[in-house]
Amino acid sequence: MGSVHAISRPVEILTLGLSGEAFALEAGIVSEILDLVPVTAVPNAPDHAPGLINVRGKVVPLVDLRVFLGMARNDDTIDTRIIVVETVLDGEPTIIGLLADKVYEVTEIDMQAIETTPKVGMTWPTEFIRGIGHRNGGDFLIVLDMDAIFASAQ
Amino acid sequence: MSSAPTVVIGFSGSATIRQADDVAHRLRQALESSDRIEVDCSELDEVDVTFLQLILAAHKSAEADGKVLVLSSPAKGALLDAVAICGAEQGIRADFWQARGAF
Amino acid sequence: MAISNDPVETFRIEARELFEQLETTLLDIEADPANKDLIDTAFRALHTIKGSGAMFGFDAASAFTHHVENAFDLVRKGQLPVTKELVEVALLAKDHMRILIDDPEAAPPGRSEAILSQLAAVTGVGPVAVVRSGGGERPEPPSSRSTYRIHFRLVRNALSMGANPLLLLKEMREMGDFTVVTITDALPHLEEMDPCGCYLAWDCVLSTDHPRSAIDEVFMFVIDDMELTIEEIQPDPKLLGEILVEHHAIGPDKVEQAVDRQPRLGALLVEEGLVSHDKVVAALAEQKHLKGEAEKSKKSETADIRVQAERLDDLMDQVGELVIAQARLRQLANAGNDTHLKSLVEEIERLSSELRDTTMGIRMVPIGSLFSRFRRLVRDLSKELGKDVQLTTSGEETELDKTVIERLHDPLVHLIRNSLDHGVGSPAEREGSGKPRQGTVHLSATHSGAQVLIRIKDDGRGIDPVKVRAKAEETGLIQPGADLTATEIFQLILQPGFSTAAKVTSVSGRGVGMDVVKRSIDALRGTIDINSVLGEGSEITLRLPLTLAIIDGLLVRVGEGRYVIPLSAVEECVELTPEDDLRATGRDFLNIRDEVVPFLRLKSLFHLTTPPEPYQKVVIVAAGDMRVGLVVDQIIGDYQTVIKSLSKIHSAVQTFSGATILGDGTVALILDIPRLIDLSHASDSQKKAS
Repeated sequence: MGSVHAISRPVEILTLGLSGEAFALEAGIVSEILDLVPVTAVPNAPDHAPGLINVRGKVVPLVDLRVFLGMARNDDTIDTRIIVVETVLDGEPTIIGLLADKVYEVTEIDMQAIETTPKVGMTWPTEFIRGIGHRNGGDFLIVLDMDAIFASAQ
Repeated sequence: MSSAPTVVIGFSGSATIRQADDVAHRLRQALESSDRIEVDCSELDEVDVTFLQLILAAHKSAEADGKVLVLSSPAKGALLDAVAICGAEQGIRADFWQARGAF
Repeated sequence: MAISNDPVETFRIEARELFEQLETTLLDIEADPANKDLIDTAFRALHTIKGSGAMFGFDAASAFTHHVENAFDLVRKGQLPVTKELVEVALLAKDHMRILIDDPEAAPPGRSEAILSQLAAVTGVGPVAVVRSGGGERPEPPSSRSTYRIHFRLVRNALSMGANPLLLLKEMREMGDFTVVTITDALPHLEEMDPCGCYLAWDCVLSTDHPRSAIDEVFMFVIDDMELTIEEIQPDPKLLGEILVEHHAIGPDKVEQAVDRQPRLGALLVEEGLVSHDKVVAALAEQKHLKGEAEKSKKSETADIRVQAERLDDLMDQVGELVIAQARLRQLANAGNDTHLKSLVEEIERLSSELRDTTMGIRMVPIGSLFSRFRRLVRDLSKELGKDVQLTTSGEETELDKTVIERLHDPLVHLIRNSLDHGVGSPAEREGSGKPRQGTVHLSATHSGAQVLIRIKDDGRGIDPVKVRAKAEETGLIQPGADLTATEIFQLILQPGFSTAAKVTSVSGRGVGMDVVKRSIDALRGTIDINSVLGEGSEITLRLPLTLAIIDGLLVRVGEGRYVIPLSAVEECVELTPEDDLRATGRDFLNIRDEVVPFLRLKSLFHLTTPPEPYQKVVIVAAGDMRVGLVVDQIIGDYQTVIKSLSKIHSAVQTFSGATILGDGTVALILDIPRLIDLSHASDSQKKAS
């Protein structure tokens, strides 16, 4: 959490936009990216998992990353995408859909280049952030700690 | 058919190799004395293959001489057990051991 | 029902079935000691375990089983009586055999010897050594059924030398299916024969599991100077002529000539003096025997087939996907005007429905297999508790989905243990209250609509509602003044942490009891009803849906969302009149034909904010004896659908048992009826108490 990784090999990441900010997550868990599909609201569901979607005949929970980061919800736009990821929850392989306002690209990042997140002055909760990296153009990216997010989602 | 009366001979108790000579003798006597012989086996407790052979041989002889030899009642008890083990009751013999065609 | 490519594993799985069968047979023998068929069945099972065990390298198990097999051989021959002690040690032996095969490393040291000496005490003989010609012990060759043609003729003076052909025939008869015909061809006329001579010969056909060596052994003592041929033949039905030729009774060309002339070969050949009558009879007998054998193997080939459980699951998934896709297709077709398409879609719907039913059927297993496992439990437990209890069952043929049966095992074990521990009293106590000394636990299963009802009924002490109530008040489950019906009081037993046992017994455990059972049954989307009359007994009824995966549902709309209610739970639908609607919350009851039914407003339960609608409906659903009305905005229609489970992410959401994909591709949630009923009644009790 917020520490520098010792591995120096480049890692593939997917860059996405949430409420105008750019984030990244490890591309290894991503299986596909969908346009926005009808979402079925789950009554009395936790805020971060407001609904369910149909992914190729499978019922998949939709997780709103903005909730973890304390950001406000946006309305869906034409750019809204659902990132379908596969992970393991409680020992069982689980498919989850992540809501994103925009998806940019899959690119590589050198993990060593991620700087430790400063404890102060961060807008977002540090427990869900792995570190800060730099995109080619110089913009900085906040690399998300998906393990922490999923652990907290259950 | 002859006019001589039917001879009924009975065997009781044991009819094994120990009694074989005696059984043979009595069967021969019966065959000589009449054309119709009825064999009563209902009192037999113990039977071995010698008895089966003798009865079958007697039947064969009777047939060859145009005589009739039958059991007086269907085989039961020790005799039936022995017959069953041998499978001797298959086919035409079944009738014989079941005393069919008795008077 | 799993197979694997590892033959040892396959053997283990088959052995498990044999062990289960053996246990059932032993228990049956205990109840019916004079039944020879049961003894034979037990013997054969032991024999197979011994033989196959050796073949797959389980030498310890095979050697151990051999002794038990011998004991039962003695019983079979009438040389050893069936006693309770024998059955007891046989059951212990069976358990040990199982360990020796499943996990030989785990076998407690010295256990084999301990059981075998107990066995020797019962049989009165030490472990029997196996004597083989050639000396030394050899493991039994694999058991497999073969058919042999045996012909023998003893020497003329064999009988005087003490030979007894009847005994030889008898021994062979006991080895399997045996057909024999006596050949009298050499029998002379009475006058010419030596009464002590041996003139008969025998043609036999034996189909047996025993090895060829066992047949050789039969003739061990007469083998010198006799005619003996033993040849293995294929159990294919043969033509009479073929058999005669194989018997060397006649040359093949003569057979052909005869066949050309007339149909009745046998009679013709005898007539022509080409073959003796007895020979024909023998050949006919062999023909009949072979036909019987062929039919037997055909039957066993078509009986069962093993399937990997995973493949069944895959099949179920695929059928489920097909059902969904077909629903979407129907929706599309109905939206259009193409009548050809519509009728074709109807046809596909019919086919997929049949496919669904057939697939469901494959997974259905009679519950009897589960019930029989409990006989041993009841027997051992009664002994341990010092009680006399018998287990009776009915409805063994009732079929349930295979996975449901597996998941029922533990809850049922617990419920039966409860009956034995708390329900049924000691023989003395029962006598004191005028009951028969022996108590009865009765397990039954029946179909009821789309549900299966499984009942555990005992004639024991019954449940005291006063005690239950007191305990519930003590643990804070209910308020002291709360007004509860007897049914509601009994349901309290299912709440976590509740236990009326004054002390912890090793048998039932502590508090780990009924709430765990309830959770297991909930997970199966079933319900538990408890009924009892103090002093007379208790009855617990488990209601389970017939299948887990595909259900018939009622599609409803609440606000903007659509939800599915399992049709099996729906009793009726009524209108929500404006009067009912306007009643103050706090008394949400409907009067349905003079019965008061509570209702739940789903819109408020789901915290939906859409405006109220004018023509709301109430769907009356039931789980067991409890009912509730669910208020919805619209009832859309019937829907056959595949249940998909919700992920862990939504595990905290209580009111839904799963989700499904509707014809238009959107997701709809399936309501968890038992949970909703719990909710409505819980809030009810609290309301009543306050």
